[in-house]
Amino acid sequence: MSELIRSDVLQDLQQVFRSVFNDDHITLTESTTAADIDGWDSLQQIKVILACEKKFKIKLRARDVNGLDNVGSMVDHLMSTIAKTTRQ
Amino acid sequence: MSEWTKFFAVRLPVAILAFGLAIEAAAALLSGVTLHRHNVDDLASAVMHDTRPYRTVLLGDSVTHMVATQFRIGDADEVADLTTHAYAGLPSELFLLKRYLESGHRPRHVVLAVSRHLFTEPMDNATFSYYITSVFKLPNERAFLQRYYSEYVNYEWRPAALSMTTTVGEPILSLLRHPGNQIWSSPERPSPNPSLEHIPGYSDDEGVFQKILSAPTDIRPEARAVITEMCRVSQRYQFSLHIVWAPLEPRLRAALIASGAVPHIDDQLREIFRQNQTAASIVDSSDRQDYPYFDHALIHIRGLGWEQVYANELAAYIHDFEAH
Amino acid sequence: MLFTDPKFLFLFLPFSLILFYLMRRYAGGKSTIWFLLFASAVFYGYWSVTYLGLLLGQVLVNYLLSRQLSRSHSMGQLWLGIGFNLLLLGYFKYRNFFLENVGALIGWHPHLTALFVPLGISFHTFQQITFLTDVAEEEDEVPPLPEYMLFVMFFPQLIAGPIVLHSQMGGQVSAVAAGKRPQEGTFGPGFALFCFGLFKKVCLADNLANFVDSAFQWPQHLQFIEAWSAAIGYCLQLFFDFSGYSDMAIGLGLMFGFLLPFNFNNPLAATSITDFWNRWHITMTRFFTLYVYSPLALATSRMASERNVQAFSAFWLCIAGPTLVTFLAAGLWHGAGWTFIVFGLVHGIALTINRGYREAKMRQLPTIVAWLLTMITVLIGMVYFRSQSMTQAHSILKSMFIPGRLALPLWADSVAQRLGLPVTFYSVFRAANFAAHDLFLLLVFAPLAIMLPNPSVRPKEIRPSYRTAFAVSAMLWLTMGWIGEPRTFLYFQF
Repeated sequence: MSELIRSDVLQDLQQVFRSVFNDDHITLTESTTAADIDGWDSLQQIKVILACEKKFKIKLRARDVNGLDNVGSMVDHLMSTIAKTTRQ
Repeated sequence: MSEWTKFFAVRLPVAILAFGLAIEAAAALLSGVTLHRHNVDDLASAVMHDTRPYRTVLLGDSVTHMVATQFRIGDADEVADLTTHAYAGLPSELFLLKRYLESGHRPRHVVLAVSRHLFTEPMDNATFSYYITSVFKLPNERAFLQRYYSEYVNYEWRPAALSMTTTVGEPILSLLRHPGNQIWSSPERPSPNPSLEHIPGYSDDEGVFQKILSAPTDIRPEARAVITEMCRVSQRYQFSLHIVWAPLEPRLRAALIASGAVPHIDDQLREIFRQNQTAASIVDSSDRQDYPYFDHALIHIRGLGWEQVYANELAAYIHDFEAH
Repeated sequence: MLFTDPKFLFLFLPFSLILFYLMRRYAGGKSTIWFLLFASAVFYGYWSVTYLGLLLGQVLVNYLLSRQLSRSHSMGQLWLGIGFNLLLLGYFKYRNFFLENVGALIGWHPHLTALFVPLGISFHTFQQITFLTDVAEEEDEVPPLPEYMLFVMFFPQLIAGPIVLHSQMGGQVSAVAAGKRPQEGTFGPGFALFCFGLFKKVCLADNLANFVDSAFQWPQHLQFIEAWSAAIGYCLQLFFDFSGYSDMAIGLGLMFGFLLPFNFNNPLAATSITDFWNRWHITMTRFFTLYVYSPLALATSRMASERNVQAFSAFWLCIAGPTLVTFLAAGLWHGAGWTFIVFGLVHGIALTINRGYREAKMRQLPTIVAWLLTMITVLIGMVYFRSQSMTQAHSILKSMFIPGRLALPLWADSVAQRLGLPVTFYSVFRAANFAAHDLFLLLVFAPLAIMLPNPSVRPKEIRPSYRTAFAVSAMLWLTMGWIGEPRTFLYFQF
């Protein structure tokens, strides 16, 4: 089983954002927050979550929609969920 | 000492004290300002400065005030309109009259065009200070209020900062207003034959109706004191006192007569006049004229034209009094 | 007990504070927690000992439930727990409303005795539901019983919020229990914030009350200006009352060393209805967003993407639907009555329109237009919220938007008559000149509502300067001058 690399997850997440927000110029770093991306509110967050579910083949929960402050914590959460899913 | 400790030990107490003293000083500086917040204020000062020799003084509550403020009652300079409203009540009628007389005026007639409930209902605690206590501050007025309206007044000293709006705010606002020192009289005369509005679908609020019907009908002691005092000044200053009951909604009036409320109140007043050996007359404006439309509280006349009718009626009564 | 009650201000509060600090210093963390619980029980029990028993019972049941959930993480058990709490809330708050309406449908008119709604039940029930959910979803762990009880019953937020999540407070409580050194510098800002809230409630909200109450007592007689004044007056009154209460709650929390979440952030400056709900009763918005809207929206969005639902239907399924459902629930949460349901519906519809507008990427409106639209929507909601019946609400709204006759205050009436305008008298206000006084209040208070600062957002930034001292002393003088009979807080019926 390949090791999960943080930067890969970040890259994939960036692709998700670019597609959801329809903006190829979006660049994500660990510290990007909602304030840095135009229109990233709880509504768009749902779309991001769904897209992440498709991309990473995991299932996310409602509280993930609003609980995360920045991209870094999103990546944390994604990685732990992916790890949990592959363990099952 | 940490910053917050310094705050509570020094800065806050100093600020509280300084603020209190500053307001106290401002209030003292402004204590000489004649207040002009509302028409009772304006009248309280105008009666002492207007020198015109009015033949009749008209006192009354808002039923009459709303009419007199729009349409001049009687001829020019004939009637001094000292009408106020129920929240200023009988005390305002008495004190305005006394101030008027004590400033040298000698009217021949004083007409009290009020509603009966001014004699039987208690005053409103929330507005008493605004319309009465803070207006009438002469020693004899304070003594009267303290004696007969003690539950509404509090003459104990309080720091001015505890009532900033009254001690500082109101005088400052009064300085901005210049109502002039004359008793107001409308430039407009009521038309002798006004076109009368008819309001289709008019009806009384049954709840209000029943509430008024079941109201007490005994004249309150403080009202008794006011009338007694009016009798006394009528003898001293040699004028005739007249009560003209303000219009009452016809259906309500019929019910109040049937229940005995109206005769009972009139009888009590006649008794007071008799005891004070004052030959005051009591007439009811609804005897001569029906006023069909009233507001939801069944107090004020509604409908265009009907107010002018009342203005004409009042003038007619006054001319009647003056003729005899 | 009310925060504005002299017994609270001069007896309960000083004593609790002194004893709290003494116990924290000399008696250890655990005893301090028990003391705070005791004080909170006294605070609640002062109103009713019976209902204090009910509260304690509910808290204990929820604690046992949470222990069970922390072992099983069963969704089924979670729903049972939520059901228990909602049933309890429903029984006291909605029983009569439910029975009346069902009865009306089937022609049965039961004679219902009025049920007294336990103080704060809406708030602490929701707070406990969040904890059950968090535990079941493995987001949180169950603390020892006294700490859990304090989380629910801590008297500053017990009666009317803010709705605190356990994640926000649990750590603070266990720090106290463990006897850790207290946070520095919270008492001073707490005191200043408390004074500010007290001022807003006593000097601002209560001064509007007379006028607003009169207007809503005679709704069928309100004319154009009166109707607008009543709606605006109530909006201001509710804002000052509730944000003042929240400031007092947060200030009290700080005086005891606890940081509670802020509830208001200048809502009357909001430029969209979405923005408004991010600034008004923030902890409630957060509750409904986290625990109602998001699960619904996520579920429907999943369904929509699985079935490839097209954009337009997707909007209705994934955005409009969850928004309307959430706000209907939020409206109903405020009170058992059709006016509250319609209040929720008004906001739900407005939010849906707002979201739709944004989704359709339409041109952004100029700020002032956006603000006006938002405020008008809020005012319409407020009319429903305050009115005692739907008929009353509609008669006020009709006067506001379809005025038949132009009505002017007494002192302008002669002008209007001369101009030949169709007029009627201003019949609601106490006396002609009081109307001017009340209008003046509105003109002064409305800008205040927008311009007053929000120290509850970052209370630690309150400095112990002379400027603060003068502000606090001005507020104290004004408050002491006006503190007469304590009026209940508007949000107390919840």
